[in-house]
Amino acid sequence: MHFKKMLQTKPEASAFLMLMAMTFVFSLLSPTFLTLGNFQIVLQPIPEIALVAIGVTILMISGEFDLSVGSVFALSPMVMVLLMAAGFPLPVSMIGGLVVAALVGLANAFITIRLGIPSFIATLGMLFMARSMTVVISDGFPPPFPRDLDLWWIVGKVDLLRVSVFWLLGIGILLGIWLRKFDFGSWIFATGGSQESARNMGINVNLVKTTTFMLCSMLAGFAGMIQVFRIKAIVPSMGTGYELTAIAATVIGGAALAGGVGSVIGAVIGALLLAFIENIIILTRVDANWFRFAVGAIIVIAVTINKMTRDVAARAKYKEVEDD
Amino acid sequence: MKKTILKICSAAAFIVGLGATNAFSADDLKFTVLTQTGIDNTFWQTIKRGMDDACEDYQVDCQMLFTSENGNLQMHLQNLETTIGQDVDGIATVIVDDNLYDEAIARAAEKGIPLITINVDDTEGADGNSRLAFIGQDLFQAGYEVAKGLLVGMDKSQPQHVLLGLARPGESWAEDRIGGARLYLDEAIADGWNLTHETIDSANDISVTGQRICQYILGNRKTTAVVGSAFWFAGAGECLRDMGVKPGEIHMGGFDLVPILLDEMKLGYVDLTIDQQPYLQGYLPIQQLYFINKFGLSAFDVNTGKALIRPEDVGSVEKYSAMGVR
Amino acid sequence: MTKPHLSVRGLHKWYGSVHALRGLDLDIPQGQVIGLIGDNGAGKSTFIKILSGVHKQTEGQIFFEGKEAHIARPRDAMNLGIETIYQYTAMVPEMSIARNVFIGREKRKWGVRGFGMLDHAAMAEEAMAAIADVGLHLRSADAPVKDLSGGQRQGVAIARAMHFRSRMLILDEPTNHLSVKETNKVLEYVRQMREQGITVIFISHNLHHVHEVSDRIVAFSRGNKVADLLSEETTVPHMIDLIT
Repeated sequence: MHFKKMLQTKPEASAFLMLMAMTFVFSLLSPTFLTLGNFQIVLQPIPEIALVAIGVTILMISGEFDLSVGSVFALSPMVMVLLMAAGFPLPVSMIGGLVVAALVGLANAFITIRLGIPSFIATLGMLFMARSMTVVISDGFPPPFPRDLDLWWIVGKVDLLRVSVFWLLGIGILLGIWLRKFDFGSWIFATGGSQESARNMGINVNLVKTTTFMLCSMLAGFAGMIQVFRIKAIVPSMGTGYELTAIAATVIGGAALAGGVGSVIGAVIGALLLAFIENIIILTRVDANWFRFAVGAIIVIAVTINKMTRDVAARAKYKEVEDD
Repeated sequence: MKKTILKICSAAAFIVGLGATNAFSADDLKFTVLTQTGIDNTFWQTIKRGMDDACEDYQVDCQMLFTSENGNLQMHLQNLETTIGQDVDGIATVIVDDNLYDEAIARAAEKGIPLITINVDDTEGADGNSRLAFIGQDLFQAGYEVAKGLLVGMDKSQPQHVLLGLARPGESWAEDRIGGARLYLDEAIADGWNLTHETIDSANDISVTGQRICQYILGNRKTTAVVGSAFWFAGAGECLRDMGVKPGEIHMGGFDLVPILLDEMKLGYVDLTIDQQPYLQGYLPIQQLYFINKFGLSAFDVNTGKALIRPEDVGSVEKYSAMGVR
Repeated sequence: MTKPHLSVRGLHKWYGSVHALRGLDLDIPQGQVIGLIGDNGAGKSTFIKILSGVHKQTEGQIFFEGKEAHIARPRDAMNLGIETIYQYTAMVPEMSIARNVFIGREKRKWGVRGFGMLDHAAMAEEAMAAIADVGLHLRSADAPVKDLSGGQRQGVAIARAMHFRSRMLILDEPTNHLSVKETNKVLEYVRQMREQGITVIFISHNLHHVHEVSDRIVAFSRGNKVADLLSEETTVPHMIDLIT
């Protein structure tokens, strides 16, 4: 009974089980899969996509969408690199980039809340606008990334891992605690779970959503910076399509599109699952033309399994909270 | 290499001079350049720089039309049709599909609008449709050259395995380049090389492409060379170093000039790249369209992409790269 | 009649060009159950939305316990001791019973409102106690509200109001879509509250339920009060006449 209870109350539980199962199956499919060397490669971009997915997840819990994260993923580091090229020190440039990201989030919140446009549409517009801004501010030619910067503190190598993995852990744990153990976190769930109820009970739902919009954008901007630090290059097209990857990771991780359900750890597991899937497709040498089909099919399967386990758990659970 | 640059410079100087003398006679000629990529493509920004310079030099009114996202052929076609409907004085466009654009191009010819293809041409070349000329890289030939250039640095007596990274499956520019590389590799096998090769969908993002190449190499340790269909493969340098791969152990080659590719070349992870000189692909069509309109001259093909760049050329190339012309 | 618990004078509400409340004057006596009836669009839901802070009146005054009250937000109403329980939007179904009881008024181990660490144990304990006080027996405060029946949800919402010592409770269609057994239970809650001296405003389309439980009946029509009588002075057929 405990196990089924966990399946229902922890949205990420079935994703976690799936991750374990896939790890097992994949290790049978390819002897390389479970090697340290392989994990070192697979884990490299995980902090980046997982941070984006965490932001999208928290926003989705509050009942909103953000399709502009892929563009902010490029805009924010572009601002940073341009500030550095203009002579500002790295910390100032990073803050500048994050402020721009926060402003994009604020604009998303304004369009969604004040103008009453569904966030799906508002942020779709922002997807194009932010991407365009990225090109405009760099005038089409981003400055070369300064290769001599000391970036050990954020992307340096510790044994097999990058320091960025610890940033992910730190940010993930902090946000996880904030979401589960703090009153504001509770308001985020309430706002997404039933906006009217939350409002009736005195929660400032506009403040909650503005906060989650801004947090989502800033996480996307920070993740973009990590990628720029890691590959030591900035191109205006970076992050294209990440919004869909992030939403896929979020949903695989157990978040509900309608809001009110989800978890930080689920977002990370979702990002890991997607990376593992891509990895095994490469390791088992699936034909190039089938690549996207395989990725798409596995996303659908993952979410279906997710839903089925939850339904089964819910049915088992129903009899349990009986009253007198 | 230096010769090429000198040539470009003197050509440019000549053209600038020409432009200056003709400045008065230029009235309102309207040219439009079209592509199927989005504005975030750095490579196309270089083409745009070439176009802008030519339009400045010849005093013509130019516009470049991008699509809202990369590879949106339908939008590109629609832009092309709109442009033809506007009765501009000249059009330069990519042709990334053999049949999609034929009708529109025929209509342009009917209306007497000169149309030149740039960057990517119909795979059937001049027979494919009624465009006047092609200015760009012979993609298939360039792929062939990259494979050939890579094998120069490799040992014929050892078994070799080459990974071909197809950035955009189904798009002719990528398929052509990889097809050319594949042809040379097959010829090499016939010639007695103990060689195998395999193609994967390598994506078009520095991070993603780098990941996929490294993951592939991990699973296929006998891989000795990588051919990319553009520049994104250079993203693999970072993870190859993480895997403990030394410079020269894996030979990588591909296309275009971007800072990360030049950096990896200096670090010894990229053997060569073919520059297709996008600046010329923006500059020359405007120049030709101008001459066609002004003096009734005819258009002519230009192969802009034979410049094979190796690590020793990086120094001289970087200077121009920073100017946004390479 | 004793001094009114709540009075409104000259209350108007415009939604754009729609005049939803037209100069309402009303006194609600202390410690009684008031049945508020009226057809759709009569203005009763506008009235309770103003009292609960969801909307602000365009014009007019509200007096609560003898003092003028300015209710701009739901929290203002709650701070005064006016608690509204909406039929469908009183609870967040995915959240636990304990969290629902303390939604917006969480107990903190430390920190300030908006940035405070939740005291889960205290919330669970107090929620269970509050629920038991209204005679409802649930096994765990950690179960999500979506697992509860409609009547149980009403019970939890009423327990919440009692826990926060509300002095006036507004029940919006509390018996909609409930079984007979559960309806009786909810009506029982209402009587319990009157015994404890809490003023209850009971809104329902089901006039039988209203008549059964109310001390007074107030009828609205076209944005104003059309009748205010003792329950004994009226019958269900008469009530139907009043509102149509």
